[in-house]
Amino acid sequence: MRISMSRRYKRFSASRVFALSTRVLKQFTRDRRTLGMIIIFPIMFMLVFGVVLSGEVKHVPIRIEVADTGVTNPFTNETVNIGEDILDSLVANDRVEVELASYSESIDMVEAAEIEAAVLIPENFTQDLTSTGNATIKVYYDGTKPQLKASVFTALTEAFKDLSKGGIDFEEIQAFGVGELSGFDVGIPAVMGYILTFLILLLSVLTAIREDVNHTKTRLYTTPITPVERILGYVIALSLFAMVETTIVIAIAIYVFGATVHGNIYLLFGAGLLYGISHIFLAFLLSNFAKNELQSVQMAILIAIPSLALSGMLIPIFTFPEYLKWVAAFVPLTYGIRTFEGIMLRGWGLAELWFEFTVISVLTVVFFVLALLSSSDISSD
Amino acid sequence: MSEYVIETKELVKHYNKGAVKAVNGIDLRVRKGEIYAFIGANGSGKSTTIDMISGTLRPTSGEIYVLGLKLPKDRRRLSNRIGIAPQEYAVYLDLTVWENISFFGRLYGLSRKEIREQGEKLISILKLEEKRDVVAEFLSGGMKRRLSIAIALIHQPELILFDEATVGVDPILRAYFWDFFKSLRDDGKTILVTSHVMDEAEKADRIGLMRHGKLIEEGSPSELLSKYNVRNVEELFLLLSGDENINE
Repeated sequence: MRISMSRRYKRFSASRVFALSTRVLKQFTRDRRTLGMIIIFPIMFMLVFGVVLSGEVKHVPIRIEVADTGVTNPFTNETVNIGEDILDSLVANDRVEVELASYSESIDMVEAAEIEAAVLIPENFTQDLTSTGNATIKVYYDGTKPQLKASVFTALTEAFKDLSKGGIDFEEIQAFGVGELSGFDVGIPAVMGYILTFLILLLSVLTAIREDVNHTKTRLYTTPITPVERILGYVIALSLFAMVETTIVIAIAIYVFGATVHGNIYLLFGAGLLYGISHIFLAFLLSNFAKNELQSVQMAILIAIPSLALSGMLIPIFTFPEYLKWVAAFVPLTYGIRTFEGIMLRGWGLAELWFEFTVISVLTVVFFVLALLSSSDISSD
Repeated sequence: MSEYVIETKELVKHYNKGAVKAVNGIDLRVRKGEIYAFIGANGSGKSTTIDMISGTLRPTSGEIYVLGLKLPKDRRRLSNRIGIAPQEYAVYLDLTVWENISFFGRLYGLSRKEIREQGEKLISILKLEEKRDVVAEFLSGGMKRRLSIAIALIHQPELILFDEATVGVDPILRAYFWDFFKSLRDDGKTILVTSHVMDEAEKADRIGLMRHGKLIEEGSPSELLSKYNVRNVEELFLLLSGDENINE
């Protein structure tokens, strides 16, 4: 049969384009795991981000002490207490969740990051305001979360407006003795945590899956090396990589962008490394369920993207619905961010961060054991 | 103790809940110090059998004894005594020839001296001297195959499994490989070779013909040729496979 020249040398053929695109689609339909992820990923990501982002920053926990004794009109015998009025207005405002407590106790709670602000309305508040037209409220606040700080000060300002009282000033004291934190300062610990999560997961799963891709897995499995030795061998090598990653991330944060580190820099490095190692084990756990590079990358994405929403990186966790708070408690990045923020912004050490370090260490062991249990040097299919 | 280095009883491997019967009841016996060639068309179950014998694939049913050890239970104890060159090259493409050999030597617990002595010997026998420090990615197919064989032999195993070791190898190298296999046998090693290239099977001491996951005939090449009155193994294979072979 003769093939016409025009058919052989067509410069553009829709048929060839179509042949290629149908082949690609066919391949996707044969890879059921990928196909599942194509459908599940957008559903899951949209639901997670949708629920998280729809939460408003409300009910920010604060403690208030109203020491104001008010002023009694000698003629009418009526007592005016503007401090109490401000308290009533704050209680009615859903931006904040107000509880009464002594100012000194409340300061301790701010420093333990249990509440956002401690407010003191002083003894002569009403008297000063009525006699001089000026009075001051003391606000001791945790400035590491700008959204929360903004909610507290907006609620206070709204309280003054409700009372149509001007001349009220704030004496703002930022906790941890760290002075004013810039937007970059407060954002960088979370960004560091996220970069470490994503990069270490991705590179570790790709490294693990290379044994399959190069067909060296079969040969490796016939040698005396045990699954424990295999995983530890990889983890030691990849830990060096995690060290490099951690060093680069911290160095750029500090030296390029001038990020503040109020705590111990070696502790910060150690925390980054421990967090990185936990994710190497997690990557090995995931890679045991991947059959090719595409699937392993998908698994890394499956962890990394929802972590962005669920770790409180975008919106504080206390704004989440109750069931999502439970999910957030199982997201490693939640503890990574808390640790990095604690060291960098609050100047905390192991005494304050023992819980976060314990959780990350426990997760590391759990991921290792699960990776080991799901790893086998004999295949069933 | 059994006289056989490899002995399987009713060995079965099914996939996809029995829809695919890759190996369907094989009784294989390989004696110490012989070259046994497992031949059959692509997909006849040779590689699946090799995977089960090497302890990397769990059988659906049946028994496997290799060097007196029951598999897959004792596979860890077997690992120092068995060498395998898989069908794929299975070498680390970003390591050099020497780094590949040395890495596996260390996994087998060899000392630096042992790795150096045995590694250099294999590099010389397999004519890899000029490629010693070349990254495996840049080796030709034949060179990669030589490297794969060197790795399989670094720990001087008693039993060596060569899965399609001569695939993609030119006739000169193939002949060289077979001479090498014979020299290994003369040193007391037992060798199981799989191949779908029929003419080379005649160089083995015994051959087993596989079809549809079953061992359909077994014996020395001369015995089988005279039994079926054919001139070579290829004719024998075509005779025993019939027209079905093309559909496998």
